[in-house]
Amino acid sequence: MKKISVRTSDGQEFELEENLAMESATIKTSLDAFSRDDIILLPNVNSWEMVKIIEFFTKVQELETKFGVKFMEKKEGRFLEAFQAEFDKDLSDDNLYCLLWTVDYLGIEVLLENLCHLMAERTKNKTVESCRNLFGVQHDYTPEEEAEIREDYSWAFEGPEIEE
Amino acid sequence: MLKKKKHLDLQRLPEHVVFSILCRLPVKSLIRFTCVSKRWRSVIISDHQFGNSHFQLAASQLRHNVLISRSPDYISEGTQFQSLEDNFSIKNLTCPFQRYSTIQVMGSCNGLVVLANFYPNVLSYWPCCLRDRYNILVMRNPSTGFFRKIPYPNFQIGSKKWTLENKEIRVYYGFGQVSASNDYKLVVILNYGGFMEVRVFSVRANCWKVVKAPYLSPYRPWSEELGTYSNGAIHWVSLHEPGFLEPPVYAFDLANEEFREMPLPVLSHNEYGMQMTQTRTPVLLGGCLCVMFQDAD
Repeated sequence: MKKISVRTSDGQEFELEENLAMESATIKTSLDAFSRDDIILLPNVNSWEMVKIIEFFTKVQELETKFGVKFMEKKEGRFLEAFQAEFDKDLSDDNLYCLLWTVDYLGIEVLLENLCHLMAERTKNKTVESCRNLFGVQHDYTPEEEAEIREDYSWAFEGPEIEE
Repeated sequence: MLKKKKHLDLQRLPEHVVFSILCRLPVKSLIRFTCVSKRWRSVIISDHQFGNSHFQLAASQLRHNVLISRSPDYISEGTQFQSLEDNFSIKNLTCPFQRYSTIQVMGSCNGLVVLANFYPNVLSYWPCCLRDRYNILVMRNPSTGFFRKIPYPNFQIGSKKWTLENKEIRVYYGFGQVSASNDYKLVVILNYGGFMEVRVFSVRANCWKVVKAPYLSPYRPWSEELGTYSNGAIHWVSLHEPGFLEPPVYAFDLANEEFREMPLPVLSHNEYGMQMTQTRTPVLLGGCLCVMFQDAD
């Protein structure tokens, strides 16, 4: 199978199998426009992110071989669960945020869906402030407005599962 | 691992990704996060696409919430509904309804529930009091737990003078989805002695519309106030009179906003060859519309 070369923002080069490279809409567009022998430059992608993306596809291929199900073709979502513990071991919330951005930029739909699920799991028990920080959202409520929501739906702000 | 400066505008997550994440959150988290910003609140509460996506994802994960209605007697507290949560806990729901009123379910579809505030004490046979009889119509979105008020429709009858005797006033209603336009519609029909007025509310357009009433032949009152939603239409069956022609099922197509008739099979004799008095009840079973024939004896 043909290999496609890509170079990340920090100068590192990776060789991707063509079918995997084509999962990225962005890379696919580049390939259609330019020769496949050229190296594709990805100035918005970091090498650690590329490592993670390759890790994901490698794992999926292993699962496909093991279970005989073509996950990618069938657009089966959420198979990250099978190796989630391993995948997000060293991934902080901020790093996951960055990876989400990159995967969206590269247009890898299947991985994006899995990462959204992963991020939702991490976010669901956060406080409002912690959520704002993570997503970089500006606080635009007045203290009175916010207090009113908190009072009307106080049950949503209480509970042992909510992180400090 | 390197960390990019994510709060620069260039590298902030695009909205569609953020909302794709929010779509996967449970209701409790969603309600809490309406506090994050006004934009988030607006999308979580009002965006139809978001509500739809959230519902579909929850449904695919087999996460169902059950809405329990307590006995509609006069109660002094505001809550009449409770929700059975994921972890089997019960949560009281607050309704924007007044005390000393009962709540009527005017329809439900894909988890959206339409409720009306009903004052049974008001003289129900005096036409101009009808507006008071069904007060606030409210739509509840189970994904977010929020209520949205629907304005009451205007009926012509309110302006007419009717005498009390022999004018039976009935109200029929139904609620369902219009898949093609990603809309939900509520239909309310006023029937006074065979004269009908039909009003349709589109959730997407947020307004009421006058629709041509069906021609009932033969005229017979319908058996249930609440119509049965099936396959894009709301269905009602008529009360049966033995010895007379079997009236058809009346279906209101939500997409083209027209009535059509569906004939019913005749089942007027029991095993002894005797004519029976029957009640007919339309129900939805396994995605199909069924009509139950029940011997009244």
